Amino acid sequence: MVIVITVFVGMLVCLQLPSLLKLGSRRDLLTYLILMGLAYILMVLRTVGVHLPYVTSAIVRVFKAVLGRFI
Amino acid sequence: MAELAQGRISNIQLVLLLTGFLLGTSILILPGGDIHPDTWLAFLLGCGQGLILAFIYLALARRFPGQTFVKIAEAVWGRYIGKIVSLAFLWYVFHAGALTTTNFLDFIKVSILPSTPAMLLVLMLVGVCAAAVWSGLEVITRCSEVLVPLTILFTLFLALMLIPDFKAANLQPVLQTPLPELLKTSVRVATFPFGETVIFLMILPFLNKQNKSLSSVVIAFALTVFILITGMLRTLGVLGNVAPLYVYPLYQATRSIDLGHILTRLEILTSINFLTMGFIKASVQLFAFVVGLSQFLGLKSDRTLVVPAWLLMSLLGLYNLPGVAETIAFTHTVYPFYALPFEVFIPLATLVVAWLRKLPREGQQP
Repeated sequence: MVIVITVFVGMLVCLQLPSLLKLGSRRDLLTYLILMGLAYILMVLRTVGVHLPYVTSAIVRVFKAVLGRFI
Repeated sequence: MAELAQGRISNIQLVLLLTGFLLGTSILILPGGDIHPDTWLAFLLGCGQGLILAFIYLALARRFPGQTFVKIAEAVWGRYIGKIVSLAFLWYVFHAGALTTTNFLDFIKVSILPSTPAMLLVLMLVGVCAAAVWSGLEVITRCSEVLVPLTILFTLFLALMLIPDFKAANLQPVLQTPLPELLKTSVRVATFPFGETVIFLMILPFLNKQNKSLSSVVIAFALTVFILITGMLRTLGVLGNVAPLYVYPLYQATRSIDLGHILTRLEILTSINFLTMGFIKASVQLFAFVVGLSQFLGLKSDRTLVVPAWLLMSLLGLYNLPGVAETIAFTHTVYPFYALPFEVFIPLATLVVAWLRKLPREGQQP
């Protein structure tokens, strides 16, 4: 499955990279690569079974701690 | 820059786009949390409160014509505080998009494809939205021109088909809900879905006639509340007191349609309504996030972020909440409080500060 994700993300990068290089903006290229790298890492972590915390559950806990009486 | 927003949208397109956006997930998960005979009143009150919020957003958009919220925040709050305000707003847009994705995913996992891997489903669902965003705002609005009238048609058709199972006694007793309870439900309705119109602060600059946007918003709100009340009444009329026990009561009600054993299994129309309106909503949210983040980071091209935003929004959709019950509980309990700063305080404070500072100044680029 990790190989499938690697191929998938690699394919997406290969498709968009030429247009980004043609654009000639280092900031665009860097932002794109950082965000794609982050997405790739998160996808791989999920695939190999690493449990990441649920984002909205954390928000719920904070709100319940602060506004418990109203919620 | 702004390749995604090429072409202007007309006021009728705004009506359909906003209606599609507001119906988005609320066409399946009825806003407000409870279904009882007075919910229609809570919907009307919530719509009224939502309209007040919409006036604030429109006033802000008219004060800074052609500017998205990211640019407005920077002009009003200054460079550094403006960046913080923009970042908070962009987080809300991104998170709201991920919540729409979670709702999509939960519904499909529970009702249609329980064994398909969640990641595959979510990537395909948001992938369609990303394709629309890549093609630009005009394509999303044109999709809404086709899909929203179809949704209205399907909703009315389903309401007609449910007449044989409809029991008017289920809609009684009327006006028995205590006022505080009714107001509480109406505030929930105001924040979800009507207050989410704040995301249109990233769309309104691309309107061709800004001065007629108010009438478009009012019509869109009226259409939405009409569809929601129709859906709520038909669900309550058919399911009665057990309606609140179902995760998706609207979907459950349409399952009972059976006209002469010929017209059956029409719940597929409810699924189509949800998927198409969810597509419009998620596309608008993804578009707003991509355009906003591009402006925030000062990128040369909007399209740079479409693919990464697609993947990240899908992933946050997977990591939002552990299950469908938690998602619906969050929508009805914590979300009204969570959304308040983004839907009320930030736009209102920005408008007040802009008014106090008399912005934009004459001769200054708005």
